[in-house]
Amino acid sequence: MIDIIESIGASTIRMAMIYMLAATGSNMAEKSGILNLTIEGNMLVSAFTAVVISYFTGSPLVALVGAIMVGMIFGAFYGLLVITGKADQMISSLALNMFAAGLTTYMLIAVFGSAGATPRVAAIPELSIPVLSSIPIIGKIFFVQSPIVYAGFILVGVAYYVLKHTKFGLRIITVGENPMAASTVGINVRRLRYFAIIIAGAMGGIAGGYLSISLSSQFVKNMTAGRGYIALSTVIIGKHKPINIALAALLFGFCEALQIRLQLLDVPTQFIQIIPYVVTVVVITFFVGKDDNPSAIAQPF
Amino acid sequence: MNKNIIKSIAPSVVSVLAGLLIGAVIILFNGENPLSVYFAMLVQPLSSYKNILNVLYVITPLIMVGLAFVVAINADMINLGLEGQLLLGGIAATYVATLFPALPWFIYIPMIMFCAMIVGALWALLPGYLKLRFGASEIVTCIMLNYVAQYMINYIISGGLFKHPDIAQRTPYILDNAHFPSLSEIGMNHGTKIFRGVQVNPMFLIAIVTVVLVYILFTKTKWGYKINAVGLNIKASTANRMHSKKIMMLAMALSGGIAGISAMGEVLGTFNGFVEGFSPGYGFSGISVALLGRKHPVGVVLAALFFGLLNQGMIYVGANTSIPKDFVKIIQTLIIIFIMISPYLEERWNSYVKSRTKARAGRLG
Repeated sequence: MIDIIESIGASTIRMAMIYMLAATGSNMAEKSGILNLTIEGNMLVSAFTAVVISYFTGSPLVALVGAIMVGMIFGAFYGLLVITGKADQMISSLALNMFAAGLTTYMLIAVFGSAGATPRVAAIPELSIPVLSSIPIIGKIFFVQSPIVYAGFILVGVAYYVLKHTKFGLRIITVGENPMAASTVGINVRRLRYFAIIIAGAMGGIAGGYLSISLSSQFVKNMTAGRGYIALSTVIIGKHKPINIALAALLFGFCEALQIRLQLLDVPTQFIQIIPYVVTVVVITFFVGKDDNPSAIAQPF
Repeated sequence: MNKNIIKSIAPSVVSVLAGLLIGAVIILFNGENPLSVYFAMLVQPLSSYKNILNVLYVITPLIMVGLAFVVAINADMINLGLEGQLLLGGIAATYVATLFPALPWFIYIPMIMFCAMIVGALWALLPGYLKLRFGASEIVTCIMLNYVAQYMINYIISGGLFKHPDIAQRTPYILDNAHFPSLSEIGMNHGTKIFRGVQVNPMFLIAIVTVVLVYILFTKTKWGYKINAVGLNIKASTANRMHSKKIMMLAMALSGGIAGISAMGEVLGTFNGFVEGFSPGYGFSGISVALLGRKHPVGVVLAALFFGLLNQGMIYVGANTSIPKDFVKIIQTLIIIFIMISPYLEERWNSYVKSRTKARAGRLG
């Protein structure tokens, strides 16, 4: 029994971290008034980049840095479209996501000559923290994880602190709620939004790299499989508050952990595989209630 | 030509050119000659009457999904669930098409299509309802429901509920009286081989009729007017005693219905049943088609023609060069990105022209 709890608990954390990283970053962008549907494409491109770099350099650390940088470029490019170009945020996000899907499958063939997956590459090893990892149950669940997981929890804390207690965070919120007013008191609305979307891109980059070279050790065609959209629902469910978002991410992580577990049982796999998607629909419908979006979301300035 | 028409198609033309230009750079990176690649892509599919007829086959589902997206977005609903609606409509049609061997085709086929429309419409109404009743973003729910639909179909077919006894990943064959014969088959039946290999089937005509019907709906009927009004301004329409939500639901149902029968040419024609994974993402292509077509039924046909040519042309390109077939997807999405920023580019262009004329006037004065 204890080992079942340990294994479900550990894989809950492991899976939740994808959503936690992606959603915490997206929240920054959304707080500033930019809808970050591009997180799906962002993660996909970063996941691919990480594998390519790890393949050629053999260093997963360099690969992760590369993934983050590509994520930032991706975010900046999206910013260029919707902040400077004032394009419709929903539709240009979708176009960018389709672009990411096309680009990665194209590069998959161009670089690796494969239509489905890359070869296995060097991945980031798990890091079990001495002393703490020997605490019964909790140790196995929380302290035998990828280093990115520990970093992820710290980043959630940082996001909370930044939004709540810093001038930068306050400005981001102001820009998202009332860009006009922010502009009149001398805040550069567009520059702040660029900052926010690039931060979101960097976080998406970590999430993508985590997906491909920590949770796995290869890139598989369309490996994000809608997780970016689930991350976005995590933001909505978490009502744009970093701690709540982290909790919501744990909920989705639990669904996926349960799914992995249930596949051992005699239930048609398809019913299990749809769980995260159905849960997303149900949660987004019934648990959200009033719209908590920043007032100026998806409106160009 | 009418100045308005020029103004409305200019962004599409410029975007297409810009997309092709960037595509040319990618082709150069692959060490190929862009001109010959584009020639193979855009001209070769039109090089014989058989090839041209096959282009019509390829664009049929694209026209349908494009129309489906247009109908919904005119009511301010972004129907990203086209793929799921298309798949579920397809499987429902296949099931009905195996049931009644005695029915004459002119009753049977409309009945099958009606069922596919209902299923597609219901699958579209679900996110519509969740949005209007609970405020759940239709974008997220639609995408999630696409995945759900895919797994449902995987369960129905590979899980064994409705499965061909010998061939993997497909349903049993449909009955003969539910079959859409291709032009090739029709020709053979009349003792001629001139259409051999031509896959286009009557579904193309149905797509064209749908284009006309959607056009009439939006230009000549009260309902089309109401849909447009709601799409442009929900608050004003509600204040004018329109049942905005009802109209949005109607648009969503119509959109899902059209999506539901989008792939009938494949299901009742080419494959004689439902083959898992037969759709290369028609649902998402529908968005590109609708946006390149400026959300206008006639524009949708032209956009479908262009994207259809790209897809069909890629077959020739792929055979002779090392360019992966996803190249088409990249160009397609680049074009859409350019369309999205075209209002901004237009604004910049206008102010550039203005400053030039001003500068010239300054010099002269």
